[in-house]
Amino acid sequence: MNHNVKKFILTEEGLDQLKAECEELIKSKRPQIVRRIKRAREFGDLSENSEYDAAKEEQSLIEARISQLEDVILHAQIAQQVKKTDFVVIGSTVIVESDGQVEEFSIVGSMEADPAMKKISNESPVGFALLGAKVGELVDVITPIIRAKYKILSIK
Amino acid sequence: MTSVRTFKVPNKYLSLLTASEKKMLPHLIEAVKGVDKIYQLQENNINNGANFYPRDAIKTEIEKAAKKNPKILSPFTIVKRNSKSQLVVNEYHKEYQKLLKPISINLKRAAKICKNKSFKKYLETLANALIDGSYKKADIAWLKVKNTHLDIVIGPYERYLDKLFFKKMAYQGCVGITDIERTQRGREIRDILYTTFGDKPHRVISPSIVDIQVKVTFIISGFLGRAVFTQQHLPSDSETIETHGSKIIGYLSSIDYKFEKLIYPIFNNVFEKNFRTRYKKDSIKNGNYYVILLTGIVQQLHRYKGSRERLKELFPIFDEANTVVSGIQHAKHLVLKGVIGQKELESMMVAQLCWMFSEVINTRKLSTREVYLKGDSLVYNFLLEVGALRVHEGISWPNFAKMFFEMENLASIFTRILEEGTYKEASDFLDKYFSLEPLKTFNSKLAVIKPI
Repeated sequence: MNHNVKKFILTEEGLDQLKAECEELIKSKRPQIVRRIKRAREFGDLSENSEYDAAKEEQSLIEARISQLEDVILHAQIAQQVKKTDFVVIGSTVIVESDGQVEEFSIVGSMEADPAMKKISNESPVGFALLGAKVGELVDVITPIIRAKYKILSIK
Repeated sequence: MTSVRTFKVPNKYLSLLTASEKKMLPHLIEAVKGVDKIYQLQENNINNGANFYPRDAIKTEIEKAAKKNPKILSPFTIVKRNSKSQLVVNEYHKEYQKLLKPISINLKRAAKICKNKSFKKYLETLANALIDGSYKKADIAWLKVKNTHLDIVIGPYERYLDKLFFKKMAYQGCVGITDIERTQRGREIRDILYTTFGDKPHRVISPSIVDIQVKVTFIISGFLGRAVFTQQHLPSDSETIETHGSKIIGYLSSIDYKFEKLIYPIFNNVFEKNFRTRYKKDSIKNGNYYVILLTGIVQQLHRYKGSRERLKELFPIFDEANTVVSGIQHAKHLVLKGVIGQKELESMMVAQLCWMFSEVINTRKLSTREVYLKGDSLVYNFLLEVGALRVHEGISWPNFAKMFFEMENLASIFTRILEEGTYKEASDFLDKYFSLEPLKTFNSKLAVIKPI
């Protein structure tokens, strides 16, 4: 038995979303793309068949995503429901100040991370550095190239 | 020499087009080809004012005449002398009427085939705009196009050909298909940077209405074909941008072409041998792509009201210099938030240095690139002076941490100059740091690489 399998930390809501996505891909998208490939084959000469090439490429993306989601669901570890704490945990939403800019984001597990939607992975440099920090604390985030300071203004 | 460049578009993109869009393609491509002849009439590498002004007219004479007739410095007029030797203007749509007509006809033919309502409207509006000079209407219709992956842009957009006043816009054209995945990624990065960077009231445009589109191109022509831009911000008119938004266009075909022919050869010729072994080609290619993407986004984040007027002909130099350093500075947020890794940031910085050297090469062919070279030299010389870069048999082991730190410093200097700096401040900075000599010490290493 392999004890080193990576666990994916997820909220219950995040896990439900991934399960729904996986089901949609298996039950709907997978059969759809198979039908599209079949249709494209009927157009003839596969070497000049752009529809066939595109459908095959999409199929490989769908299969890769299904495989990834199945792996994550199998090894998911549910993060405890976040109660209001006075320090940052996975699931906290923080308001921070850095370089004179104030911003708000949530710290989430890596599979739920979506920085464009202000969800930052606990494995990212800033997510990792903020875990455990308290309101008012000045946190150094240091990578081999970059140095940044984040002041925690509030934790929700 | 023709300004037309064509690229092979992979099959997977063609499958994104509808049957009617495929039928429209030959007309659109023909229309873009037609732009070349107009551009050739505007281009003149010997004169600072290209062919926009009479060869014998000096700057002060033009400025004096423009006080009486502001159309002399309009972006869309050609200045000529009348029989009394006075400066007079002719508008583009009249000057190039004969050449614009077949372009307009091709656009109308494509519009007839088009089944997408907003795209059809745009093609019709553009066809008319080229004939009557109502470019704004065409720009606004373009911004409203939706539900299609096919795109065409034709019109006068970039000012770089007018080195005398940086006013007149040169014709360009392009037909392409959206790369969905890269466009989506581009939009995500834009959102991360815009939310991180916050809002500034004196920006020209609220970033939320700047869209991003990455596309492969069948053909580019005119100034775009000559300069082979890897990204561009359109439209050019500030008023339209403020009211209706704008798009950053990433030209994937040009990005890949320039990487193969210019950036990667520069990497191999400029960096010291042992250093190069740390980076695979794909890693530099990926870094190069991020540099270009961030360049486009950063140019929008740092577009400030009045900076063009304040800094005059120095504006494009500082705009370029700021884009170089601020692009890297903003990548910091991508690293901190886990969007890109440390190694990708290093690759970006390496690719950015290669772009600086690319201007040494490109200026050999196209003198309009001088403003970029000047901007790049400010950054390069500063980094050398503070010891972030060292040269020994090529650039050897850049100190990435120091380089990043100094680029952040430079970014705050350039940003301030663009935001509120005076012409004198910009001029003084230029006097202190501008010299082409340090970059040109690599001339022999760069001689084997052809300009694009």
